[in-house]
Amino acid sequence: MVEIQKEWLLSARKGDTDAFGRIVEAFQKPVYNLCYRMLGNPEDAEDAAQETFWRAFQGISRYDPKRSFGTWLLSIAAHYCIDRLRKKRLNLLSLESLLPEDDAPDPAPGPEKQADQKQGQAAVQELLANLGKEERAMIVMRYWYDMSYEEIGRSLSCSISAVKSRLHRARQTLAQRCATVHGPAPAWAGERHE
Amino acid sequence: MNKHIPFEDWIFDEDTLTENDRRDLQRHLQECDECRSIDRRWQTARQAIQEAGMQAPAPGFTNRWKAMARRRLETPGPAQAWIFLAATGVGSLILAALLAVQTSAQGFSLSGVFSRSSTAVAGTLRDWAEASNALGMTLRIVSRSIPPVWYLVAVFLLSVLGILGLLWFVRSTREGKK
Repeated sequence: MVEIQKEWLLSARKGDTDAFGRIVEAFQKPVYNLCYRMLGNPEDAEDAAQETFWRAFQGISRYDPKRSFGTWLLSIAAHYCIDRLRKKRLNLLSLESLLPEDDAPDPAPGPEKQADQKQGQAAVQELLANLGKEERAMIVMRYWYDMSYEEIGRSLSCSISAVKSRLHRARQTLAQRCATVHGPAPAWAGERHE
Repeated sequence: MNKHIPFEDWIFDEDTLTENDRRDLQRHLQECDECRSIDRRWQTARQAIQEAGMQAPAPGFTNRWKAMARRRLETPGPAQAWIFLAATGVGSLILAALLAVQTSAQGFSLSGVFSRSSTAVAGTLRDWAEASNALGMTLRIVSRSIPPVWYLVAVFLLSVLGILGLLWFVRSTREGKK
């Protein structure tokens, strides 16, 4: 995870938006990525990431310097996305909505490779859309950010054992929903989670 | 007994398996088509996730955030607007109470209101002096001492303030949602 300079934090605590802007610059990608994985489209991810940084700016006095700043930010982002999904009832995302014309611009490879990447991203988002809100957040935190069970639990306000069991269930769901050439999933495999 | 137990769980266990458990799991996977299929599916899903990488926002994200932050900082928050509206409401209630006392005490007519206004203005200072001597009678004295036309002015001002407060509240709520 990215590290920040103490003076940025001190200035940001005094309400300096330029200082906090440096923090935004440093953390925009991980925060945006979490929002994108949670919400499934670039427009919502942009809004959620902007809101996450605004909430962090407003609540920066509550940040405990003993904790990782990145983990704190991701926790705000995850809670915000979960609330947003709850409000909009976007548990299931259609494949079309996951294939926007102006996708997030990473350094652009050739058209064929780009199409493959887009398909891969859409497939991943389709997989994640099968998970419940909290489970999706846990999978993203675990596999994109290598967060420990303890960190995930603290970020999402639940116990370590709850994180372990829900991640286990989420893996089962992902395996069951994964479209491969290996044939249909056996009947005993995990049920779909709403 | 279900031959998949405990392997159906072990496939998804990334932390607690011992070396022996892993060996047993691999042995079971070689023999069991169903568990092997689930294991491949999970490995495929896991690989897809790991290869997905990080998505980046469109260029200019930080500038967009700064512009939004400046806009929000310049706009008063909904809490302030609520306080303003509440204060206006309380002011209106006090005014209504005073007006009620005034009209019930003197009998209300529009011509009477204006004719009494001039004499009441002159008596205002005297009435205020009385009010200081009888604290318990404050409401009644105040209501008598203020010329009725002042109530009309106050009602008008409070209405304007109320409308402004409402606009302020709507604007700050919209900004908050953005």
